[in-house]
Amino acid sequence: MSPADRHSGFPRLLGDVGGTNARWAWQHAPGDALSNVRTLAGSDYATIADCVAAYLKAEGLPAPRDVGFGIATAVTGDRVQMTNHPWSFSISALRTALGAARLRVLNDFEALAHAVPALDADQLSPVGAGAAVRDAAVAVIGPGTGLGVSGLVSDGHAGWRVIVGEGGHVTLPAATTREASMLAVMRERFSHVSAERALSGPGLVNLYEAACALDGETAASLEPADVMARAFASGAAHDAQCEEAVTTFASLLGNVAGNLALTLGARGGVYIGGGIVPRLGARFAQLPFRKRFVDKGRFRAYLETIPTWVITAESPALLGAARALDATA
Amino acid sequence: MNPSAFDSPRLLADIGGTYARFTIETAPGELERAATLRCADHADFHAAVSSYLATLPPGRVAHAAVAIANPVEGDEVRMTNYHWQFSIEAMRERLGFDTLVVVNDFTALAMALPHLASSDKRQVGGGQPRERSVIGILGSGSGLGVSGLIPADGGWIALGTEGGHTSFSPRDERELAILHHAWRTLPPRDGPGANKHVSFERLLSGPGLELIYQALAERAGARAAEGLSAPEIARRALGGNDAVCVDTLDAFCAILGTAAANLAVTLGALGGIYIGGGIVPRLGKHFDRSCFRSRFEDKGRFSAYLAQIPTWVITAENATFHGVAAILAAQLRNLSGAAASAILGQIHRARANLSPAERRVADHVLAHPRSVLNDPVAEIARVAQVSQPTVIRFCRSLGCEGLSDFKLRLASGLTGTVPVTHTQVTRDDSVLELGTKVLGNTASSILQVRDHLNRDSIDRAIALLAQAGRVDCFAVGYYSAVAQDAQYKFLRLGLPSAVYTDPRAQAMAARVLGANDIAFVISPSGRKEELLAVADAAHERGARVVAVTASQSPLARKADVTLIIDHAEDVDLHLPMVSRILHLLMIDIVSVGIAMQRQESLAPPPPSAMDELSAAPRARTVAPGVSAAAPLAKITSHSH
Repeated sequence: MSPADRHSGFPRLLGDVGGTNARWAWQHAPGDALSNVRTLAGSDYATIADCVAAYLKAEGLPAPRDVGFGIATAVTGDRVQMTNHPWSFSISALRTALGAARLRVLNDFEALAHAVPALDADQLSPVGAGAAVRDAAVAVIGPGTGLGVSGLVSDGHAGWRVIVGEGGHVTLPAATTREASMLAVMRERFSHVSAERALSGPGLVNLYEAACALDGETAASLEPADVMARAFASGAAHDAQCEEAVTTFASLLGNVAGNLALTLGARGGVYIGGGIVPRLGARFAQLPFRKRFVDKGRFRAYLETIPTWVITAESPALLGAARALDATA
Repeated sequence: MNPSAFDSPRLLADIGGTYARFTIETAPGELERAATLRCADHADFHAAVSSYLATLPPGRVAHAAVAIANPVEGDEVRMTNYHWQFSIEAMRERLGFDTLVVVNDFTALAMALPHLASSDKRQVGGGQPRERSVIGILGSGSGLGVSGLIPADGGWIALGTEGGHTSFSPRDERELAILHHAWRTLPPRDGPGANKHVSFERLLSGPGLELIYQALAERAGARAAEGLSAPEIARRALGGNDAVCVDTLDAFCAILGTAAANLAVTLGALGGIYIGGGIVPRLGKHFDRSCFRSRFEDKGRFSAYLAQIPTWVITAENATFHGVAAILAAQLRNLSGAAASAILGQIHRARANLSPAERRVADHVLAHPRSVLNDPVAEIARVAQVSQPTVIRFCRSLGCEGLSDFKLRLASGLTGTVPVTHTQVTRDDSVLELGTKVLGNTASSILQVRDHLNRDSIDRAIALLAQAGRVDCFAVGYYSAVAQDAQYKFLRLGLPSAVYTDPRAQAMAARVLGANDIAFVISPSGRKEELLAVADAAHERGARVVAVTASQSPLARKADVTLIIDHAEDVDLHLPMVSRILHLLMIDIVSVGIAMQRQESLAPPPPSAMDELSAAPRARTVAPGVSAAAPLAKITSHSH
């Protein structure tokens, strides 16, 4: 490979396309920090190509050579359709439209998994104890608009393979009679109560409504942010069902993250991303996440050795998209 | 005799909670002398293995692999459902094996999956496997085993998982009733206040079948459910007369559908899900008609995702043995694999502590390790966008003297090749690491050659050489030294011999060979034009050609006898060292053989052979490489 070839993948456009916002960044050359980070509202643009064009224009940037972005939907072929979002595109057609030499479209949690090995200590906040086993599998989970799940497995040669499926759609477990009752309430609404039905923004609202139903309270029409605000509020603004929703959310997340750790043998640690948990900040450590994570009978000791971290990095998926491009360069 | 037969049979074992099954593998995939022992009849693992080994014909077992029904981590094995425990390394020594690999039995079964024939499995429901996609496996028996296979570089990575211990998630009223029953009846494990953990294994196992039966009998209003055993429940359910047993088996299949679907979505197992273990394969077609598959696909909005994923029941008897054999073979082949990542792994670990500029170098090395090997410092600095002293500082941060020292360590890690100079490492730990790596690479390559020795071609080479009038050795480049060594050996054996390493001299020498002479050609690639020309010229003169070269090479096809050494080394980067050692050893094998044959057949010795005879015993003693009793490799643990 000649030096010229090695530069051929640059400049790069990197992206993190969520249900609401699309975040874009620029990388001039290998090893450069990401620059020109800008977030655009998806609803302002008819197509993803329009959104990219608007970004490039606003930042005064030329057409990128390579493009990589994570997107909050399954990527299984050339056709990408966002869930709950009008954007739909063909990867090959989008590459042509952007005039890029290469376009890599990843599931957003696939991108996040690519970022994990490159995260620094100051981009992570530990929850509980445990120590990562080097080269062991790593799990990534993150409640946001939905529940994203992915994993990393060492290929034995200092590289990683990303495991990505639809792990948010495992059937939701229950560890207490109260949870089993909430589950029963939710099952009246949903044919399949997946983990995502509880572990996501809408899931917080579902949990709140289930708690209200069990307590005989009339549920208010709340947004996920309202549930969180009322759970942590004091005085009259405080709401017992909101608090239960948030506590149960953390318990169930611990349970599901523990299941994920067992399923992947993730002795390299569990990383929590997504839009909800990092925003809870220090309050998350007060919730029963870790307690429930390790609460698996005789596998408690196994799980106690596994560290759990909240990803606090600003835009880890952008970094992940860059590393995914590196990995396939 | 099978030409691919192993030098010594390999011992394979599959240790469950109740039975220990043993077999020997005599050639790849050839299993013989299978035997099943009751664990309870033997005091410990050593006793069980010894008792099986005693039934074998005399001969040494060098390599063994054991699949065991519990997590394998580190050196200490402690069985979850049985009292046997041992240190793998101590056990290897006690049993006198060169290699003892211990793996989780589900990891072993998983490794067998890509090789299952269509007659080894039965599909349940629809779906098509996607090529080279993740595969999941669940096996219900005395426990619930779970694993997955991730495709990587033409092979597979097996997940070492404890997925059977995930929390049970009920889907309907019947399953909620089962969960409540389990909460009520299971003893608290973690003291008062802790939640009782009801895992999928609690229900999807032999004891689980009994627990489900108790719960559903209670739910059906039976006063005190009789304590039926799992086999009895299955028998009655298959008979169809006992409603609670039918209900129990139905719930079991449904819950297995949930667990299988959870695994499928978590791993993105588009390659399919396999069901093994002791229970399901015995249910026969009943399982195919059960609600397993409909539950598997019943994931609300994601039903279409699951409907495309095929599910199979494993019907093969020996799948675990084949898997454990594949892992053993891969370990013997890639003994150097773990060492290969040492330097890159070190960079990964050190990365967080590097300065931002050094980190740019680290990222560049990790992204393009092979180009870094070739690039001068200025180029590395330019591409990483740092100054040249930063590149040197990066090398020193990793404990290297400088860039060339770093490149040596990187090269030996990347290629499994031994660099020719490795004296610049000064820190003790680095020396140790490097020494271990170099010797490990070499030893594993030697073992590989030993496993693939072709006795027939060695016998024929010995017969030809022993009768030859003269043996001229031909090689070029780095292999000149090997040819020189061959010449010394032949001379020592009393065989007139010359060595030619210059192409023009080679051409001339080949053209004066006689009908009773041999051209002994050494070429790792077997593609050098000048050496192919030597073989042709030798044949024109009526001479025979014995080649030490790669299988399937042009030279191998031309030679009368080929001594095969297949060892790929990246000769662009540095001198091929391991390969030369292997060639030297192959020549040594042949010369020892000639010496032994002469000792047997020549009596009394002709005066000219006196030297050779007195040399023969020494030659044997200096050639322990292939018959050494000393262990050349030890693998003490393997859990993935």
